[in-house]
Amino acid sequence: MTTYRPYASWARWTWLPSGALVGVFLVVPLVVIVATSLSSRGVVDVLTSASMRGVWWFTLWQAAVSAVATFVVAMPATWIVSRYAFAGRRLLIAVMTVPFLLPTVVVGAAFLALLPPTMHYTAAAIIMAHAYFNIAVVVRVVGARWEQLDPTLGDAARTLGASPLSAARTITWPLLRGAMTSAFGIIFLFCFTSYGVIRLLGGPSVSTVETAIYVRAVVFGDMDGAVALSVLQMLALLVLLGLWGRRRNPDAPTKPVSGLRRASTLRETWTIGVVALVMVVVACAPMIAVALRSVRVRGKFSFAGWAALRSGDMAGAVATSLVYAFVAALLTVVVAVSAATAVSYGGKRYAWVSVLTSLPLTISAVTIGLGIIVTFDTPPFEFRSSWFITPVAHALVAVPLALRTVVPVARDVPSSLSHAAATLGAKPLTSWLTIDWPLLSGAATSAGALAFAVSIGEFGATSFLTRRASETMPVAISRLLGRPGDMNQLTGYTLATILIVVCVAVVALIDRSKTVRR
Amino acid sequence: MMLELVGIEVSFNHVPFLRNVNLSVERGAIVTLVGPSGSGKSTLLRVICGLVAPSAGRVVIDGRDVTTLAPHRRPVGMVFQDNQLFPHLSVADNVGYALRIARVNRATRLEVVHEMLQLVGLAGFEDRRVDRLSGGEAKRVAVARSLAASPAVLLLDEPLAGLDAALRDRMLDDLADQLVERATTVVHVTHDATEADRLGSRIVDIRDIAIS
Repeated sequence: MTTYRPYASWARWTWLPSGALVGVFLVVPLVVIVATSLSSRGVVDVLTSASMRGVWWFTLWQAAVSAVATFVVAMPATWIVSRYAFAGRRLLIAVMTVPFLLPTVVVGAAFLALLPPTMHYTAAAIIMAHAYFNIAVVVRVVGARWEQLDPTLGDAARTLGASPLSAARTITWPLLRGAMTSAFGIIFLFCFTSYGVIRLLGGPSVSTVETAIYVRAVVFGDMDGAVALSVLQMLALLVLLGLWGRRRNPDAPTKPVSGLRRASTLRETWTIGVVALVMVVVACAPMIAVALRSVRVRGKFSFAGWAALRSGDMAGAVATSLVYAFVAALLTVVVAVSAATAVSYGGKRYAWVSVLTSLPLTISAVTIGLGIIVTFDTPPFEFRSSWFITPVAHALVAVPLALRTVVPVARDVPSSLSHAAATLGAKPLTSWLTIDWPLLSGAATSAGALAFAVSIGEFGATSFLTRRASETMPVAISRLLGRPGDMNQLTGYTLATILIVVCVAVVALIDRSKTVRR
Repeated sequence: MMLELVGIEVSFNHVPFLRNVNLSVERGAIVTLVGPSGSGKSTLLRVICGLVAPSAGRVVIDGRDVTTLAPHRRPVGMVFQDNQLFPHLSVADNVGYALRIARVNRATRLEVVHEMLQLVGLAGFEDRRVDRLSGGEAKRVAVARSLAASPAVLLLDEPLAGLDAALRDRMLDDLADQLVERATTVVHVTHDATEADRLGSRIVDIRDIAIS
């Protein structure tokens, strides 16, 4: 039976923008990187260097310790928001989500602002920043599962003689183990490929594989070494993902219920209050520290940092970031919406489009930046210093996320609506423009806002592509805070404050538009 | 003949599902297709309006072979079982949709919309959101939307399923009056025999016109 599918034939063309973006600016550079690494001695050098062994070891252990630290910080609050109904619960979840939305450079800056100088450039500072950044992963991944666990399961265990602790050990833990393993794996990978936080908090002495790639490529100009490192890092990621994929065992299926209940004893009420308060302080303190440091230096208030926004350099960075973010958002929306039509209407034959567009998720932003400068450095393809290359790289990072925003909505529009429109005389294009697009446009706007937020905070790829004359805010923050001098600190923290406000505002807008639509 | 189905065949995964369906409907006539669930009644309606392509056979409307014509090019309207109102459009914009597509000017459109809504007893509902309508109201909007397009052939796919008996009877009477007045050719699917009687239609059992 051949059912009328008015948009099916579009997929033949609409995969093209995403195919071109990912193909030209990701797949080709990856091929060039791998080919270069095979034809140079870089791999041997990198593997035999003693200092690199130290870097690999540090990258691994800091990721593991950071993941454990994240659980220590996040579990108490995850427990209260997934077991208890209380006033301000949703607000608490929102507050815990904010750190994850901040650009990594800002998180790094926040811990520079918060911690005493003796702790700067230490592993402890990096681990604290990672634990802060990833709180939301635990809350969202573990909390989502925990919230749906029937509390009467624990009650049943109690009636069978289990103590609260043994009920937790025998019932709750086995049911949460899968979600906790997932969260651990996600956090480990984030920390393994962490870049912005390490660049700011590691200083010149502490390095991970990602920052070592940058140092080799940009500081020493050792492209062979940088390329070899990035290939080895991709291999390491593949191995880690493979191991994780094999080990992951799904949680036992349970009937989802809302497990929230009200606190019944005074002790419970107090516990909830204290945990929530501590979490709010933990989540807000680093951001407040940044805002304070933008107006305070050596114990005195000064608005010189904010005044410097009027100067050419700072105003330039803000303007550059805004322009790049607009261009990246526009490009992302066009690419994501066209790819979404291919994925949603093209059927199984175009399933590969969603695989292709997910590719940027599995490649670190540093590798994306490195690939572009290595590949596009000879005429007529000398794009590495063109103005458009940075927003293109940002769009590459944002497209997978944007597509995940648009595709479910596109698929949710029942095809029967376009059938109804056709029986009323609408051509396919008319029907899409009058029925599907209005229903999709909200998601497309959210995708654009998301791309804007990604672009304005993007640091990994940008640090390879930016030029002094066209610095973005994150690059300027990293440069300013890496240098001594009161003025550098004030302006650096001022830019970080602006980024915090912009990111939180954009995400709040996305959230609001979702709520309104519902 | 207004509508002719000649040797229609529909297969599902290469397995024939409807075989050799032949049906002729005169201009202005109302035909009710009856038959058990799964016998292919709704599928046949979808073949008539072009949403399902037959693997063999011809659909002829007013002497013209429309078998390969896209749904939007056929003079056929359809009231869907679950209405399929456009969720982002108001009641008036839903009813006026076909006219907007046909680039009918705004004044005429509003007039027709008003007339249609009056006809189905929903005058004053113009600005309502469709997700705020009761089941009966939504159904009446769907009927008004299809009638507003003045299709030569109107397909009704269990249009009154899910409505309570009193409301259904009233709507049936109204609908029958309208269809007769407009001399619309109608193919109506139901498995409720009283519905067929009330519309004053010729009753055709799908098992008699098809080899299933």
